Amino acid sequence: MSKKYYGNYSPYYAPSRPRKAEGGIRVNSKGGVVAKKWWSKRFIEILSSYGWANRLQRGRRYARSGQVLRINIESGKISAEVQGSMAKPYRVEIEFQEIDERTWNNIIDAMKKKPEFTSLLLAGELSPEIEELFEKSGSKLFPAKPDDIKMNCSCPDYANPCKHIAAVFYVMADAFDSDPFILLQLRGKTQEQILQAFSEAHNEKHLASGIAPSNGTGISRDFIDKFWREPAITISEIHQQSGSTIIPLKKYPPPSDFNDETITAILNRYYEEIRKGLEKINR
Amino acid sequence: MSKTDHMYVMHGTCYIDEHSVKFLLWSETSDKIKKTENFHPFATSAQKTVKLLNDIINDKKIKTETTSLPAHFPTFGNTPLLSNQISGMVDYTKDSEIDNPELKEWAVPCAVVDIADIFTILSGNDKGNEYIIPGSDFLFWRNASQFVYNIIAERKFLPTVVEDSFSVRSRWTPILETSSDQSMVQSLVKDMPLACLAFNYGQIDAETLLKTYMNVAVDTFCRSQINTYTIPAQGGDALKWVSSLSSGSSLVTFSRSLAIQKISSWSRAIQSRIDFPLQMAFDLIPPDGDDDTWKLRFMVQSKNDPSLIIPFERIWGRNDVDAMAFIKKYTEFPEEFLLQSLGMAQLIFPPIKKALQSANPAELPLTSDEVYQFLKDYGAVLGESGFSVLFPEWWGKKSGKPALKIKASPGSQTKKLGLETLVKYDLEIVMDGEPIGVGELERLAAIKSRFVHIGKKWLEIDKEQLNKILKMLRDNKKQVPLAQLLSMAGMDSNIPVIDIEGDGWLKNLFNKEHHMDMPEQPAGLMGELREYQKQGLSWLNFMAGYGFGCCLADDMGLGKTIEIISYMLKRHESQENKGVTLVVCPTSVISNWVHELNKFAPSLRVHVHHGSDRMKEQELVDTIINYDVVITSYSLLTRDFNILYKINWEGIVADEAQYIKNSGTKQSRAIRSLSAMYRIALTGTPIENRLEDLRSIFDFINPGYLGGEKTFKKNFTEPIIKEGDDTVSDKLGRLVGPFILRRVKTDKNVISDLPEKEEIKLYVPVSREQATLYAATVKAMLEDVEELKGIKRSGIILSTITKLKRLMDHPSLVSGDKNYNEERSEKMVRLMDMLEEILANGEKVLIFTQYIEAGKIIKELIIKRFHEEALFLSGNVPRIVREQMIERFQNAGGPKIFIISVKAGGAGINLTAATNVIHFDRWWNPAVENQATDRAYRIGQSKLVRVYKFISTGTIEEKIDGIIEGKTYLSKKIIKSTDESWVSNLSTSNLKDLFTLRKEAIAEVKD
Repeated sequence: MSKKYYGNYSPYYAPSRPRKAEGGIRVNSKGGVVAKKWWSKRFIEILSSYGWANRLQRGRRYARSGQVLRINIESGKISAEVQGSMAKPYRVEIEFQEIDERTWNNIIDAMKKKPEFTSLLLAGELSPEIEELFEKSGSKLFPAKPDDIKMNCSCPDYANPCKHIAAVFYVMADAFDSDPFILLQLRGKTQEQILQAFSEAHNEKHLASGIAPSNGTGISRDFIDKFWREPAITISEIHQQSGSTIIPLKKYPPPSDFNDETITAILNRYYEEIRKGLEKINR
Repeated sequence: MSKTDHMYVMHGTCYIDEHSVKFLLWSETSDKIKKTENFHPFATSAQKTVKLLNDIINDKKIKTETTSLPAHFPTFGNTPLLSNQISGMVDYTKDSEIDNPELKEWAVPCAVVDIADIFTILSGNDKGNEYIIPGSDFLFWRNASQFVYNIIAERKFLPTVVEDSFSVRSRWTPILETSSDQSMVQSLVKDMPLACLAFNYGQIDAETLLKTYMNVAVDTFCRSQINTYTIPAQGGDALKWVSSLSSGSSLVTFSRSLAIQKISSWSRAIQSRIDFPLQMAFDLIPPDGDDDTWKLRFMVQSKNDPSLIIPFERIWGRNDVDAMAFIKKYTEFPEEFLLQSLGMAQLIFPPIKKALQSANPAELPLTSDEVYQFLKDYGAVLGESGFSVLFPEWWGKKSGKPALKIKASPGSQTKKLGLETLVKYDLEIVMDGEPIGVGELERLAAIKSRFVHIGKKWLEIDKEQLNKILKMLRDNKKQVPLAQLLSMAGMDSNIPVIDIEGDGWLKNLFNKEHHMDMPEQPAGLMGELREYQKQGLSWLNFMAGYGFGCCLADDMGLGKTIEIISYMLKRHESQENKGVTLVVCPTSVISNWVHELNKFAPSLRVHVHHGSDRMKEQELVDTIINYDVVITSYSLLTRDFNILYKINWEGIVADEAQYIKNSGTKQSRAIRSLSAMYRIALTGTPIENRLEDLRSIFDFINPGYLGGEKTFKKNFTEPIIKEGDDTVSDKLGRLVGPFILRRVKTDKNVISDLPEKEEIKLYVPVSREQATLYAATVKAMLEDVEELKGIKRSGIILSTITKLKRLMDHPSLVSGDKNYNEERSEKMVRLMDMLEEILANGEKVLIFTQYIEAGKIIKELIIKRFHEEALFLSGNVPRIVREQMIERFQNAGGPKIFIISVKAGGAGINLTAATNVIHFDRWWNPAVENQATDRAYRIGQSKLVRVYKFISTGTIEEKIDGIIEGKTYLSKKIIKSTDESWVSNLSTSNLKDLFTLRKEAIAEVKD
């Protein structure tokens, strides 16, 4: 963070009033809760756990007043402009630690095995078990400690995170509410990349259910191929009774009330009648 | 059903809604049925489906209802994806431009039947109707039903109890204990065509649908077979349960008494056993020393990972830490599992009872005889009941079985009496490929135990076989007729012969690769024989010379005709008293024989005995001296038997000899009774695999050799087909082997001799109907042409050409009627025969035609005759469907026939899976034709491609071919353009020459 002395400002933190921002991103300005979904809440919770509660408060006010002008997200990196007290908006940069490719492969494989993850994700939700899944795959969904996040702001405030950075955090948390993919993008994979990896799994599962996986405009080639495909298996009639020569009731004798002579005799008769009926089937 | 009726594809699938499980049937046809908008345009009415159903089933008492239900289909615009069976028969028109089909809902009129009824139909044999073809969904449910049938037949089902929120119901439930059953279910799930889920789209998955069908089928079928049992007034819950198992209503009671709870938990316990991941296994331990004590050891094994296996011994007493760790993962009470397993095993294999006497049963001692009994009789049964039997590696293999080798040598006489020739023989005994002396055999015969320890191996000694051989060795005779020797090798299944070798001339008989005297090519042959053809000639010479009837069974396209012609010529040239050879063949091939004989052996005088103006009785006998070869058809064999019988033929050649079987007993008897010095059968189909063909052909070439019809059936057909007996199949092979010579396109010796791409012209006569129409059309054209000039004149000529070409493909293309009978066109007859050979050889073929209606007829005929799928690429077909067709054809297991009626264009279509190309009708421009051919042929590929071009003899097709080949006075240069417009520039007299039909071209269709 760069220290700049402007006029009378001392290096100590002093309350300041920001300039009014036009056209900024307003987060829930009417009051009420920012970050409603569990993962957004959790995000804020974790940041708070770093001891930044106070600063986050101030950031929230900024976010509510729409001081954050614009945000740009690339894989793992956020750059934003926040209107502070100066004329020129401050530049904020936040970088999360990217998860490496191999770990991502583990994560995606683990997700593929549990179809709920996929369907929830596509519906805009994160499964509560996702933190555990990330951990088992050798990583964490949220940054583990403050050092895992690199933060930078062009404002003179020493505090890190300053209220501008905090404001950006709140705006992000709000965005996570409506699109959990952003959270994943911060860890290194875009929505397209994740969906690509899923679409094979998706196709397979849907084909098995007879649902046509769509590729945007129409149905997949695979579905068309399998629609009228001739069966490859032929099952032939068994010639000799290779099966047990004893009546199955002997292998699995029913409980005593159901095992007396009368009942056993009747059941044996039933088996015989069924056998005769089977023989009658036109050969 | 009349001959003008169309083809229908019968569809069906299981359907689940909130109230019930039913089976829906609907049918599809290539005629667009005008309906209200949302109805599937190719689905017939439900009433029609009911009618079709009654045509294919035997039992007309099936209850059916009708309704219309929505189903999802991939759809191109307004055309739903058609079944493969009728694809190509329908134009997609504008919709073919749509690249991406969508899933659309269509209303489909259906017949609805009960599961029990459909199960009975699908697992039985239906009547089979030419016009009604089962769709892939229908075939799938047939498989599923067969699977259920097998389950019921093997009694893999139990009466159980199921509970829902208010009631307790009885149910007959399938019990799938073995891993093979369970994996079959999974295989079926994967095999289900997605069309089966069309009516339940998005609601259930394939596994649920299949399992529901299986459960409902078992339950409803069983109930329906049982006479209802009425319970006495004071009947308790148990009796209520028993009674409900026999009635249509499965209700037992609404209350949950103690008894009900017991039977319910019993039902659940059964399912748990099936789902339990461990099973009991049996391991066989051989004796240490010389005693006879084997041990059957009891083991616990994981179903998923059979390598995880531990003996009972380690579990009793709970001392073994590792063993406990393993088994405690699955159950807290391992002893219970062990005892339960033993309890059940004992019911199947009673000797286990002895083991149960001790406190901690771990193994059971057995004698070698008991071991044999166990492995032979009980092993499979235990396997089917959810146990695992570790069969020893040496069990069941053919080791330890002694067999014989026969060494034959020429007998004392020199006369060549064919099968009656006397030969001497010696016997050699082998076991596991090694010769073994009589002394050793006698020693083994004396050992008590069935199992003999040799080195590290154990062998099962077949004592009976040993003794039979010892007896044979003692009874060895001096000389026997060859037929008897062969019969020893073949017919008598008691004697285990594995090989026959021969000395002297016999060597040639048993070992065809052996060098034979290679005769010179006959002087009068107009052509070069290839190496393998020379070998063929040599073999024919040898066989006929020794008095053996024989069969030349080379692949189609290898030139059997030329080899036979060479033989006929050679024999003719080397004899003083020349005789006449009779060639019998299908009508459609007569012209081809004439053509080939004239081309390759012009010195032989040929006469065709065919047609309504053929010679009557005495005339043929009197004039026979003027001919060297007489050609006639199978159809005339019986009709003119009196004439043919009177002549002493030099030889008889039966072409397409499988026709003998088709022609029925009268014709078989006729051809057998004709007198001849030699008999040769020609066929392109692999007859060793086709028993009926084999028998009827041998009946002709060596009568009596394979026994009469009944004996053959008993000795060969039944064991081979019904029981899949390999030894009998081998024996038959040894019996017929010496008399059949077969080379295929993939043989190394053959490939090097053949060009990669070879064009073969096939001359086909025209039918009488075609001839009449042909003449009339030409007459009309010639009259018109006199008066017209310029464009009008060309117009008439070109349209006449088209009309004639269509006529030669099939008369219905010109008359517009829907009678697709193949006999109306000899081209169709010939095509079907060729396809039979191609299919029998497992090869693939492209059929090109310019006319979509010809393509439709061909496709229909193929489906009806061979029940094979024929892909049909015609005009407007969506890109995806076209790609799908090409992919499926190129796939080795996919359809074998591809009919194409578009101009070969469409760059990049790769159809190299085809090794045969048939131009059913021709573009008279070599460039266009080659482009079509090259869909299949690519330079440098290792397969041989045969290109066949059909030419109707005596017609304009033959004449234009002549022009292209430069064989007529009309110069090749006049064929300028890619169409036939040059024809219109000919003068009237040239036109007359070109168009007039030659008389000799006409074949006779059944009088």
